[in-house]
Formats: sequence, structure tokens, C-alpha cells
Amino acid sequence: MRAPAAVGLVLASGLALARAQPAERAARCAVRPSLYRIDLAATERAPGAKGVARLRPAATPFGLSVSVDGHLVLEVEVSAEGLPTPQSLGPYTTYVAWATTPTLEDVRRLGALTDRPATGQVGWNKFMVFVTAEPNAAGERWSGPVVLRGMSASGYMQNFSAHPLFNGGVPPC
Amino acid sequence: MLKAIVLAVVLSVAGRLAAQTPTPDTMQMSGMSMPGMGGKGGPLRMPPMPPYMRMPMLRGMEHVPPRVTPFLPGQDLDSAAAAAVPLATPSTAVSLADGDTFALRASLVRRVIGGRRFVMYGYNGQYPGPLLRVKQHATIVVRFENQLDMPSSLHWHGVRVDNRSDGAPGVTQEAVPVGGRYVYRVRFPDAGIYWYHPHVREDIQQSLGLFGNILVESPDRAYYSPVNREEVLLLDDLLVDREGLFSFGREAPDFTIMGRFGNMFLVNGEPGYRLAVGRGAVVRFFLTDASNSRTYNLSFGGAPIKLVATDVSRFEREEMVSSVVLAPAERYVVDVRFDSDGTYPLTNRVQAINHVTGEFYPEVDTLGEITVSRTRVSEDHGAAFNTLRRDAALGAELERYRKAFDRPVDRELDLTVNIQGLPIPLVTFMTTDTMYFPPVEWNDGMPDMNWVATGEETRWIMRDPATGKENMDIDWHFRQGEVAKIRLFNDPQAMHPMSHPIHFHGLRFLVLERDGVPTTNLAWKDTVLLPVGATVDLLLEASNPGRWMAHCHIAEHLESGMHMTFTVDSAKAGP
Repeated sequence: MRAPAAVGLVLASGLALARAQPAERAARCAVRPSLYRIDLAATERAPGAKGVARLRPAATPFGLSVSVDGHLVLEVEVSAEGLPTPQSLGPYTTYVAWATTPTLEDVRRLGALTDRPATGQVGWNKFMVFVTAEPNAAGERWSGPVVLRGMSASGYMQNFSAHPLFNGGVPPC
Repeated sequence: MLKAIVLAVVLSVAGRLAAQTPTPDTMQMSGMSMPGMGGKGGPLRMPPMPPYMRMPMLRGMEHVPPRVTPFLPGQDLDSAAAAAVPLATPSTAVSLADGDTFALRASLVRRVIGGRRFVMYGYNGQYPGPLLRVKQHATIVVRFENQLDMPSSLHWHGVRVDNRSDGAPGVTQEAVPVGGRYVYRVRFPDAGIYWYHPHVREDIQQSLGLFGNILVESPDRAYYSPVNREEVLLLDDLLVDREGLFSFGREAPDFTIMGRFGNMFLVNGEPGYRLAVGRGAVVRFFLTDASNSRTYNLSFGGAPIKLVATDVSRFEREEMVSSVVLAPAERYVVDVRFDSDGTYPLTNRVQAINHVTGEFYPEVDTLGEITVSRTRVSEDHGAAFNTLRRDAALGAELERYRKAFDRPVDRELDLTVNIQGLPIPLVTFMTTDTMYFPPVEWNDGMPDMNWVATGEETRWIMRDPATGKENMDIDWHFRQGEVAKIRLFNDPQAMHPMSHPIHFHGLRFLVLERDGVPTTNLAWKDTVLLPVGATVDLLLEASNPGRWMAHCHIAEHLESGMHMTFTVDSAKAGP
């Protein structure tokens, strides 16, 4: 099929969805990654585990919390379930949640995962949240294996492989 | 089959985009002209882009203009009439007493900005309009005369005026025709900083300079802490290149996706704001964002900033902040201390986005500078600056409302958009460039596409989920004296979500919660910023009877449908 026809089909599909009622659209349209939630995917070291990082703009008297240089400031709350005991992965005693920039230049320890979620604050444009098994919860950098990881929605910009289209979805409405 | 086709199209578009040579335009250069697409408004030009964008032209969009007739003020004047347009002068302050009458005339003016000449609009031949200084509880009469080339009106933003003086055409009055007049009787029940602007084609009239401040002074001399100086700053941005102003859409607004972002920053109508003070000075800044779409993140070169007040009141307690986030139509009052001699830049610092490359760029816009001399100020207000005061009167007043904080939500609004009929390349790109929308669009990350979108293709929506009604089909009713909890939700799954500064006319409200987190430092407001994905609960005080508007204050969103009405039924009226 020639490109113009394909474009036409995409457009027709998009327009049909745009005219659909809200509930119908919600059921049919692709959903983009949430700004305020990162689902953490399990690595091979902990295949049965899952986790989530909930994000919330930090408190501010203004409409949005940003740093003086304009970075969005977010409160991060990480929780997980289904993790094996850390000892089962090696000489580890605990799981620690971290946040880092995509280039790993800056790393922030959010804290140990206990009965309570690990919490902290980040102010980066794009960032990853991940959980590692560690010998203790005090390190400034991680040393053990990564068991859960996820990327902020901003990290997916222009990454077409992550687009819902390439995951069996339809165009967003 | 369809999936394969979609995939092929996306890959094709992405591949072609990657192969493009970046457009060499910068904000200092000329936008791209489109031969043969001129008309009286001058040739249509794609907006220039700042250097860091290096955004490739979307293939297929090189010769696609917005589907509107270009419009610029004064374009229909003959050369003699154009030459007779008076040169605008800087704003002057006018003190008005209770009962005074003031004449305000909107007309064409010539402006020289940064050495370039433009025909724009002005009130009383000034830029911005005159600063009106009035006493709290005063009432003034404003005789408005429209000498523009289109209908207009005067809206007293944030002022809890009598309904007939609200200046909302189609709701509280008819638009004032060219050559027409209207008399506004304006009372000022609240101290603080307010502003006036038109409520007809705000995308054009406001952008071209029709706005001014009102400083309402409290009879309480200690309402604010003592300072060495007060400065009233109206922030604005103008979209220009060396060819001149960028035209507007005559039949409908353009730039309707993101709103019109300017590339020349203006403070009180001039680029390069300057202030000179002595060492140790504490300066109070009354800040108003009069931009069509831009939200600012302001700071003063590291000088400490104390947040004092916002739209309609002081905060419950003063607090130190590192910067001031100011959305369109919002106001903040801040005290800033300049302890050391030197130069302090007034900057807007944001993380701009290039949607094509998917990258963030730190953008630092210098709006002006404050020069601090070595000579100390004669009066040292450092101790007062370092004291964070509580507003006991506001605290006591809010006690009357606290029992309503936990009431169920009374009304809801979902904010979304419907976009249809844009050029195919643009639609194709928009359906793929959807992975991330920032909570606030600090810059125009896709100016060539934004420019093409007009009010004919874009319909911004306020939807009442309880009834399904949208925009002007909504007509909520409240009883005078009641308070109502309003929940606003900015749908992040819309086709092109964007932050919205939502303004309620005639009334005031408290921002009770953001995303379920209670506000801990309350103040009365009239405009609230809804970032993408945000849920905000307001407590609206329905104290002022009449039929009022509520709308997004991004001018192009307002003019593309994003407005509604609500009625406060008078307590005097029978059931």
C-alpha cells in the first residue's frame, strides 16, 4: 500500500476515535504512560516481583513545584511485592530503592523497602527508579543486583519502541 | 493489517524527520515567509525558533499556513492614517478616590520596542495601560471608549465587581462596538494587585498591549511589611521577528494548541527591565502574568524571596521561596532583599522541551536586572523582611469556611480537547508524539505545528462529567451565600493535554487540595493553574450574584471554546 493511503487510514482511524463518546474512547484509545506512576518491571533476578513508584508534585504555594532552574520536583514513593528474600540472591540483607538520571550521573537513595514504602524527592527531567538487593541500606551507590526498574514518562519521549502503537495499541485520541 | 500500516507510516515519518536538516531560524532571525500567502496582514511566516530547538521542519508542512486570514492592527489604514497613529508613552499611575470618574480609551498606538516599530493597541495611548491606584472599598466609574478596529470590552480581573460591570460580552454585556462606549462602575472590596484587560479576542487584543494593573491599597498601613520600594511589574511576551509582528487569525485564533508564546520578553511593555536600589534594599514586587500562554518561573539572581500575597488576599503565613511560578492571569506579591552590591538578573528559568528530539533544554530568559549600589539604604528593613508574618485576619476569616473543607464535591469539571481537521502530516506526527506531555508547557515545543492550528480545528473543552455538558452549554447555579466544592481534573489522556490556568469571574475561591494533598498555606484566589494530570479541589464562595464566566486564561484556549457560565442566584430573589 502506498504511503498516502496508509496515512489516510491512520487519519480516518484517528478521526473516528475522536468523534467517539468519552467512555467508548477510553476503552478503545491507547493510554500513554502516567506522569505520576511508574510501574516497575521485574528483572530476571526476581521474576515474580512487581513494584510501583508513585509520584506526586512536591508541596508548593504555587500551581506546580519546580526548582529555581525549572526542574519539576516530585515526591517519590516506592513499594514492591513478590520479592524473594534478599539472602536468596547472595550476600544481601535488604532491598533499597534508588532514583537516577538516565546517564547515571546523579543517584539518590530513596531508602530501604520495609513494611513501608521508600520515599524521597527528585528534581530531574528524566529519571529511572529501581530496586536493588544490598548488603545494607546505608550505601550511597548501589552494589547489588537490580530486581525492579522503571523509567519516568518523560524518558519515553520519541522512543517509538515504547509507544502504545508498538505494543498492540491504536493511536491515542 | 492496520497495525502494519500504522507502523510503516510511523517509521517513515520518523525516518524522514531524522534525515531533515535543522531549520536555521532563531528568535533573532526572520520567520519563514510563505510567498503568495500574504494579504493585507502581511505575508504569513512560520514562527522562528530559539537556537536550542534545532527543530526540523515537518515534511509536508513547509507550505501549509493556518486556515485563517492574517490580521494585524491598522492593516486597513491608508498611509496618511497610519502615519497619524500616535506614539505610545510609558504607563503612568493615576490615583483615584471613591466616587471618581476616569476615562479609558482603547486605540491603535505606535510602539517602538527594542528599536523596532510596531502598530499595536493601548489604553489612553500608554503601555501598559495606566496603573490605577485606588483605596480598598472605593467605587470608581470608568467611561470606556472603543477606538480599536474591532469590538472590545473591559474585564476587571479578580475584582469582585457588580455583575453588569464584569465586561464579559455575551454574558454581562454586549461587546462595545468600534466607536462605542460603555460605563463601568467598579468597586474594590479586596486589597491587592489586580488587572484589567479586554474580553473580546483576547488572543489579539491582550497580546497587543491591552492590559493594565490596579493596585488596591488597604486602609491598614501595616497590611504589608515596610519595604524600601514598591514595583508593579506586568510580564508579557511578544512574538516578533525582524519583519515585524506575527499576524493573528482574523476569523479565528491561531496557535490554538499551545497558545501563542512570544520570543521577546517584556516587563511593563519594554524589554530589559532596569531597577537601581541601594545595598540592603527590600523591594516589593507586584507581579502579574499578562502573557497569552506563558507560565514563568521567576527568580532574582539568588536574592532571597519572601512570598506575601496572591490574587485576592495575602497568604495565611508568609514563606520564603526559591522562585515564583506565575501562570497567565495569576498575581503574586513578593518581597525581595538585595543584601550585597552588584547586579541581580530577573530571570525566567525553565526546562524547555523540543518535542521532535524528545530532549529537555535549560532555558534562561533574562527579563531585566536590578543594580544594587554600594551605598546602603537609609532605612534598613532587614528585620521586617526576616520576619515571616501570619495574617491573623485571614486566619480568623477562614475559620468560617473550614467546616466546608471536608464537604463532598459539589461540581466537577474535566478539561480536555477535541482536535479535528488539521493537515495530515501534523495529525500523523501528533498521533505518535504522544508519549509524554509535561505538567506545564514552559515553551512552545512545536511552534510550526502550533501555529497552523486554529480555532476551526481545535476545540478546548470544559466538560461537566455529571451531565456531559460542555463549555457554554454548562450553566451551574449556586445560591448567594453558599460555598461549593469544585473538583477540576486536567485529563492527561486527551489528544494534546496542556496546563490550564482556570479563572472564575466575580468570585473568589480557596485551593483546598492538589492531587489529594491538602493546601497548608491558604489564600483567596481567582485563577488556579491545572497542570496536566492534576486534580484540584476549590472551595468557591458564591457571594456575588449574577451570571459569570469561568474559563481557561490561555487566550487561544479561551477563544477556542474553553469557557462556561455559572449563576449565583441572588438571595433577594424568590424561589
